[in-house]
Parts: sequence; C-alpha cells; structure tokens
Amino acid sequence: MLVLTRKSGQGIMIGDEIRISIVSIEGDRVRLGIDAPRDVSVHREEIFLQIIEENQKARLEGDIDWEKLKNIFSGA
Amino acid sequence: MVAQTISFPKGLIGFKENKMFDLIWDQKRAPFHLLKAKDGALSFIILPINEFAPEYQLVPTKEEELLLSVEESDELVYFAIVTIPQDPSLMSANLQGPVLINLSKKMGFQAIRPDEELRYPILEGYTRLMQECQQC
Repeated sequence: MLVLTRKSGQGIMIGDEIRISIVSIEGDRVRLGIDAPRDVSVHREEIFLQIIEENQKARLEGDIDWEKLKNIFSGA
Repeated sequence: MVAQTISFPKGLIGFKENKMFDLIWDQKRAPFHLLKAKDGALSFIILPINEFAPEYQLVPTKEEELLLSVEESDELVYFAIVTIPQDPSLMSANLQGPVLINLSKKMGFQAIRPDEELRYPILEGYTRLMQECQQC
C-alpha cells in the first residue's frame, strides 16, 4: 500500500481523473473531498463491507423448501 | 419455468468473478425468483421489491442507466436479495444493495443505496401491503 503524508488543503490524484483532497483535519477526524467522473461510484467503505457480508449470508446453501417459504409469505 | 441469462458486467458486490447469471422464475416458487450463476454453485433468492415494499421508490442513476444501456422503452425491474435465517419468518430483503435488471437488454447490476435498510423485514412489509389493499 502506498502511504503519503498530506496537509489540509492538499490532495492526491488517482489516475488523471480522480482527485481526493484533504478538506480539514480535526482531532481524529479527517474530511475528504472527492472529485471523480460520474461513472465512478464513491461510497463509505463500511457500506460496501456490510453489503458483501449480507450477500454472503444470503447465498443459498443446500436445498430450499419452496412450499414452506411460499406458505410463510402468503400467510403473512 | 422461465429462465433467462442476465449479464452482470461488475458481478455482484463481493462476488466479482461471477458475471453471468440465470434469472429463473417458476410458478412453484412465485413470487420468489432464483438468481443462479452460470459458472459456479452460487445462487440467491431474489424478490421484486414492489411485491413487498411498493413505497420504496427507486430511480436508476445516470451511471446505472449507462452501465445497463437503458433506453426509454426498456423494462427495468428492481429486485432485492433475500436472506433467510434459521427462522424463515424473519426473512429479510437487502434494500441497501438492490439488484437492478434491465430485462430488455438482459443486463444487471447490484446498486448501492446507503440510506436504505440492509435487512428490511419482508413479512412486515407484505402484511402492511395486504392490509392497505383490503382498505382500497
């Protein structure tokens, strides 16, 4: 992993289209500004991680009792 | 049974290696659908979101439309991946990572909606929907 030291107001470029800048630093909180092309999605890492975890949980293992599942749904 | 092959250019989140899935609909499973990877033993139960949460309004972003080659007349369906815990009555739908499928182009994408629920209680939503329908 590349590690860089930056001051408030400075930035880094990823490729020639993505710019991440340090907006402010207060204690242990760093505010980042991100400029990226519209087709690059930007999300907090924990959102990604929890969707990955939920996808893994949802992945089917073994056989499903569809009859039971349907009954639960329609009997709700 | 109706199966159609849907291409997911970016895979599903956390499962990037699987790009081709069969979207399988079968009367015996309705309204649940099956999303089954062509090239592996990876499969999910998915449910059209309007079956249990019609109030959930989803609009594709410009980037999602580009990715799925959406044109005006295309048929778009939002599905949620269903998680079934040991007690199936507690089944939940992932509205934070909805699966958008462009049926007309046979392309799919797992979107991210950070402000939505990760584990939406499906049966509560469905019960509320049924009660509202009886009143209308």
